[in-house]
Amino acid sequence: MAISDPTHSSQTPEPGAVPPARAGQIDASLKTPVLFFFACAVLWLLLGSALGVISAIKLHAPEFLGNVEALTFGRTRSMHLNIVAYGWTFNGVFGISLWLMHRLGRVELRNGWVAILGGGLWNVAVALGIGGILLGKMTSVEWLEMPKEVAPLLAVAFLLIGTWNVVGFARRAPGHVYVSQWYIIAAMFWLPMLYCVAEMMILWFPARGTVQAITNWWFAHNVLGLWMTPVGVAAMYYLIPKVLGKPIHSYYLSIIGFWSLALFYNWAGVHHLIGGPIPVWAQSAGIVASIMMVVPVLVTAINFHTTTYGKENWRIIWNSPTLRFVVFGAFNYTLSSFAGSAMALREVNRVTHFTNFTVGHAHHGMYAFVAMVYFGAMYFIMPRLLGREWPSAALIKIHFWLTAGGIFFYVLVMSIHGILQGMAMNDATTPFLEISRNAMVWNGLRTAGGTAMTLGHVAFAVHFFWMLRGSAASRRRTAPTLFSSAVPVEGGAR
Amino acid sequence: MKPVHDKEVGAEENSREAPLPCSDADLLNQGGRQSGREHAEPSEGFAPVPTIVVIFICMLASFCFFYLEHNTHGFSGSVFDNEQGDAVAAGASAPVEETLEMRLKKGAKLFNQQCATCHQPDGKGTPGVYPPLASSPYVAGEPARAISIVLAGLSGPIEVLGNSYNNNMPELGSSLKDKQIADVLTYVRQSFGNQAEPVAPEKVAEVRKEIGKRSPWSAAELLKVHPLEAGK
Amino acid sequence: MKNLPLIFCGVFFTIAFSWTGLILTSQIQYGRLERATASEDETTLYPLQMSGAAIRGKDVYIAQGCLYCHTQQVRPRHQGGDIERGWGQRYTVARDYILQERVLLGTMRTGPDLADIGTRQKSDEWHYQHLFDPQLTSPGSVMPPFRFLFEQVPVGETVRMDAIKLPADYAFAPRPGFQWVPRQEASDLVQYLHSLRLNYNSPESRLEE
Repeated sequence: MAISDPTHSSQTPEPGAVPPARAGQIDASLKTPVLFFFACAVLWLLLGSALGVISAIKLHAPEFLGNVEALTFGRTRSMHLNIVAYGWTFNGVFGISLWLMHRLGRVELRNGWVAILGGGLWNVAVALGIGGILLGKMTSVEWLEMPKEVAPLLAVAFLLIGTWNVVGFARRAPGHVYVSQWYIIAAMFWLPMLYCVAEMMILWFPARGTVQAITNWWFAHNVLGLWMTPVGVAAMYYLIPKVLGKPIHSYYLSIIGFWSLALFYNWAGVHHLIGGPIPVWAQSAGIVASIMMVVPVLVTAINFHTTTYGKENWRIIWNSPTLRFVVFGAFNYTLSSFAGSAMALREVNRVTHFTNFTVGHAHHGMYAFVAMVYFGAMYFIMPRLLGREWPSAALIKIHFWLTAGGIFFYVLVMSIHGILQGMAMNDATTPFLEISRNAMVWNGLRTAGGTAMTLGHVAFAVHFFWMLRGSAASRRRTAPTLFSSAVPVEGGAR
Repeated sequence: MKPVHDKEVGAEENSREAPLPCSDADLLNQGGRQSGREHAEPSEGFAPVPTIVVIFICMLASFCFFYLEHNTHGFSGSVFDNEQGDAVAAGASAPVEETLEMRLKKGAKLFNQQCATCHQPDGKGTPGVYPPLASSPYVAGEPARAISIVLAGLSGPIEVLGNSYNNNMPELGSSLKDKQIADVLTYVRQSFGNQAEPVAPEKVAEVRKEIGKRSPWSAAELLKVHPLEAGK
Repeated sequence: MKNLPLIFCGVFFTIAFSWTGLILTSQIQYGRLERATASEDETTLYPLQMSGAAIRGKDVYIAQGCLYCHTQQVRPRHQGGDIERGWGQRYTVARDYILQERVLLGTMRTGPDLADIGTRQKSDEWHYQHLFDPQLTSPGSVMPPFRFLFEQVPVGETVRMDAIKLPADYAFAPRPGFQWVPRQEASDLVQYLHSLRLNYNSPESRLEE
């Protein structure tokens, strides 16, 4: 399948070239739906991070909001997870994928109201689901906490949005299909299958015993691996070469990366049950798949990091808001995925399992990779939709340093604490209460990291809505908002 | 080297490209900004896959096959412990004489499992709720008193070291064996500043026979049978 | 790669492959396990059915999100310190969960494992105190208080058996003439905790001495 395509590009030097007039029309057709998704995403992000901080505080000050049943730790934590997953990330995915799909397909979006209708329904359903958790209708199934009654609503909403992505792909202009398109189209098919199977086998017609647990982790891990990751990778595959103005390193590596991700990620989720009440063969299958995940991550890393390599490229990356976020995400995709493979090994898992290490790792993947790439993509897409620029480079800078610094600190704290916690738990002479008491300091540091990220989100949200309102500052700018208007002359610094 | 403040990308990169066409429609659409600010849609290069990567993937795959062969137990649905079988060999070593140190270690583990939730890992109890074991006269002295409490439990008001408590301690006689009770009491009697002699399993068996199955003691009832030693 | 049907087939194959391999195979292999007798006791089938109160208590456990800090699974000896810590005398196996409509294995141990809490902590009173305010029984714990599962009732003629015993000058002491007693949810929850027992042999995993 791969080999026939290269000939195409030798005929036309710039296979993906879109006449700028078309680009403008395409962006105009996407404006309302994509802005709608982004605005919802940003609002959910604010709420989700506030709940994240509340949950974090509760882990070192248990009396904090202790008398409020609706805000007990189990619920704030679940609301945090579901809001950032189904509110922030899904809306982000919807907006980014819709835009990428039509830009790369070189067609305008038709009947955008269908996507908006789906989006509206989606967000109402998520709000209902979160309300359900708040009122104690939570399911306590990780990643599926929302009451099962909202599942049909979510499914219909997804059907509308997903179909419009697929339709966009089917209507694409003839010619080359770029790697980002594969990832998005695959994600659009994977997610509904995952979600429907999981809802059916866990909540509507529960499977017996621990088959349920396997289904749970097959789903929960694949939401990250086959939904958020593909769209994140698609955005990276688009934005890095786009802004740098050079082709991605290797088509062949892209193909290996895509199909090995499809094959191995699917099986990896069982590593959440290592040592648990499922047969050894199933655990080993999950471990082996997790080890094999090194393959897609490695080839994708080679592709990205070879493309970005070079002093001149680094200068551009450092100076472009889009690329600074995206390349930060690309690095963390590589790092967190390798860490994930290592954590699946039985010898490592016996320490890191059931500890803060895992929580830190989840944030490493979901935030340092996924969220940061989505921020970068939004910085790229928004000016094109609105026809005006980001009003303030300073706010972007604040956003970057607070989120990048915050997540770095957070992952560091959680990883160190996780290892200490795991070793203490495996040593039966350490009373559990002592482990619990020692956690207080670390959990306090964790709150500090989370607060930094949340403040970064506030800066982003202010900036986002400021731009959306069309401030004078954003109209006045005639050129893209970059970090530095006075870049040091080459050879000056190094 | 030119400053890059006017374009999102290095200005020299843009100048490399042919000037992009700019139609009226475009100017209407985006105020003319779209045209100059972007590179063409991305494309792929065709660098071959490095040989070392291919070799690495093959090595990884062979490792995984090896791993699966040794860690699946024939895909059995009834094996849940990856080292099943190995443990039997390890546990078959000859029994060794048990030292006091080993008994204390066992006792400490049991204490953390069974007692520390109330009496706390440091044996100091919780003020007003659970009485302390550290320097408690109920712990030291005649072992039969402490053994009796563990075997049958104790409920109702009790005064320990000048403070009064009113709580229920459940019986542990039905879930702990004589040897375990002896170990845990030995640990308690030699920790938290306590210095009393070890408790023998035989002594526990003797007390168990004496009191039989009974309801939890009250403090008064217990002290009638096993009064606190003078001077304590 | 520009063929939509081809991409779709590949995408569908990969997910169907993992679903078949992990979930369908598991369902066929151990999805229909039945209860079994422990070898020394030929008459009782394990795991035991839960009582009505315990089933209601499980709903409280689910609604409060206890799962996010407490696991209900015991790993084999070499895979962690669970057994040595006394969280169970054997590792858990698939058969232990067959009667549970919702399986609550958990993935985080901010608090200790609860698979065998019913044999480890038999005292209602301890559980009530611990739920009411964890600092009473476990000073320094990070567990949140669940005081909203309790209510204040007038002492009246007799002190209720399940009234919580509190130390003097306690911050959340009841109003004068009142006592803190567990509401239905709290007593159900404690019944559920009592029902979590790993004190029987299973054909796949035997209790250690």
